[in-house]
Amino acid sequence: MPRLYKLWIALIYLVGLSSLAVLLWVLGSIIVNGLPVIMKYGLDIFTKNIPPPMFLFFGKPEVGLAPAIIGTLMVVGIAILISFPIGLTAGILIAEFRHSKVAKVAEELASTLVEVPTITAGISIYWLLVIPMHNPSALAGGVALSLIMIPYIAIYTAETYKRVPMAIKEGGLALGLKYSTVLFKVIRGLVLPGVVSGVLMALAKGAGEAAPLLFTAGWNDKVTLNPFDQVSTLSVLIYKFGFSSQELWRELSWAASFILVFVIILPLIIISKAMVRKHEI
Amino acid sequence: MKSDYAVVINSLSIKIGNKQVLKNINLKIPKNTVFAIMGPSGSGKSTLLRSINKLWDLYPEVKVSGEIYVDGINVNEIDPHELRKIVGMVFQRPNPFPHMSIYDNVAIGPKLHKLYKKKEELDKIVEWALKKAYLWDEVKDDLKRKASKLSGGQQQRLCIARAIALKPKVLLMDEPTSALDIVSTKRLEENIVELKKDFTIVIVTHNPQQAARISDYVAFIYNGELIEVGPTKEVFTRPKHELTEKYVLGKV
Repeated sequence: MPRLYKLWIALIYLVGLSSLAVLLWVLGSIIVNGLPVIMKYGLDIFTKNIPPPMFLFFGKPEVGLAPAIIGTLMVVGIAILISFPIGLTAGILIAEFRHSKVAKVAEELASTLVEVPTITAGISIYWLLVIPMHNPSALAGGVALSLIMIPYIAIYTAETYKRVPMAIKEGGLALGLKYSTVLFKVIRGLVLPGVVSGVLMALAKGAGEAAPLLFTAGWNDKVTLNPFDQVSTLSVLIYKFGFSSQELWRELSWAASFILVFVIILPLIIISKAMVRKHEI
Repeated sequence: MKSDYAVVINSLSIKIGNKQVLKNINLKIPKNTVFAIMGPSGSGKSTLLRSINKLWDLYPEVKVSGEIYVDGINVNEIDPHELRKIVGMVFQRPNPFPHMSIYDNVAIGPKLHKLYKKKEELDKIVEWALKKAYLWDEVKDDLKRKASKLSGGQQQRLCIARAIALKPKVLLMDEPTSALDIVSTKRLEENIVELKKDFTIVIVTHNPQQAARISDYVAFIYNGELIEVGPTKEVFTRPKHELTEKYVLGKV
């Protein structure tokens, strides 16, 4: 029996370690392939335009990712502007008005939307916005991404508000304060870290998504700040350049992966986790 | 309408869902006294207490009938938020706002109700409330400390300070010592007796000895019914009802 038990434990460790190994291998390959490209081109990566499709015919092209970096920030920025107010309201509704029908519907909707394949957000916004506007744009991309981010923010917000004990809320109510005052003023300091952490997780999720942007954000190898213009994003660039026959494009795809994972997504996730851990209720 | 009683309760009945929790309760609570409501757990004491400040408003499954007057005002004819300004409450477990400082916990009521315009006025009321709650000496050097850093007894006294900072007429206390150790309980009981100079205290307790120690009047509630009510000395020395005698002797 003890021997069998030991075997069990060993097996569990093995499976656990191998999943960790896969993660490390993915991150490692991004570092090994991405970091040298960034070292090679230096700051240009962050400031120069993306080499255009026919770059081979144009002599020495600009080599950089600036349009994709700025495009990512624009699309995610637009998405958070839309998804934060909606997600926050939905989250508070789900947590604080649990017995109302609207809250139940909102909760079902949020938990379903999280599971929906993200490409469907792209296709629906394509029909809803891109076709009527005759052009993909940062705005359409942002709207598509917001569909992915709203349920994240709603679920995080709801969980955070649910964790505040009723006794604390009653403490505020017993002082003659309105329920809304208790929610938005008295316990604000208690829920803020949880809500912010949800926003950061939603940003990380949004920044990494390519599928909803394929039909909606378009492509641009030059920097633009106009939300009605097409933009490229890091995630879409990785998808487009990753399988290219051109060495230069494949290099840029790795560099974009490195920036996306190590400069944008991982820091967001780490800050988000740290915030929640520091402020356990 | 002025009244000699801080709280008057007329034929109060409460149903939670389908369960009749309180049946036809009639009580008159004189001003500036400690009025204890005692009874075994589940007898409906806390339910009664929470109907005085209408904290049941939040729970649609709770149906309250009958009349309650606080300082001559029918609680159904006043905005519940205004009512709770004159009826403060201290809960069973200390529930300070853990993320706020000691100062903010006490100041938040007067501040959000905009009772004071100047910071000095607010400082004064915070000091007054903390002194009344016997907490001032222990915390005066560090009012910025988080409430969650205080001990259980200190937290409960902070909750008293928070409640009285609004200068209510009535202070409801729902088994305020049940989560505290003996030393903290003793201090809090002394505190309660002091507080009746300024407020009318209605305290729920499942401990008859506590009722005997601190109250001027006591009501005994059993199974949702008011069995006996009167001056504490009388109820404890010459109970009219057999059930009261048994309860006081610890036999129920």
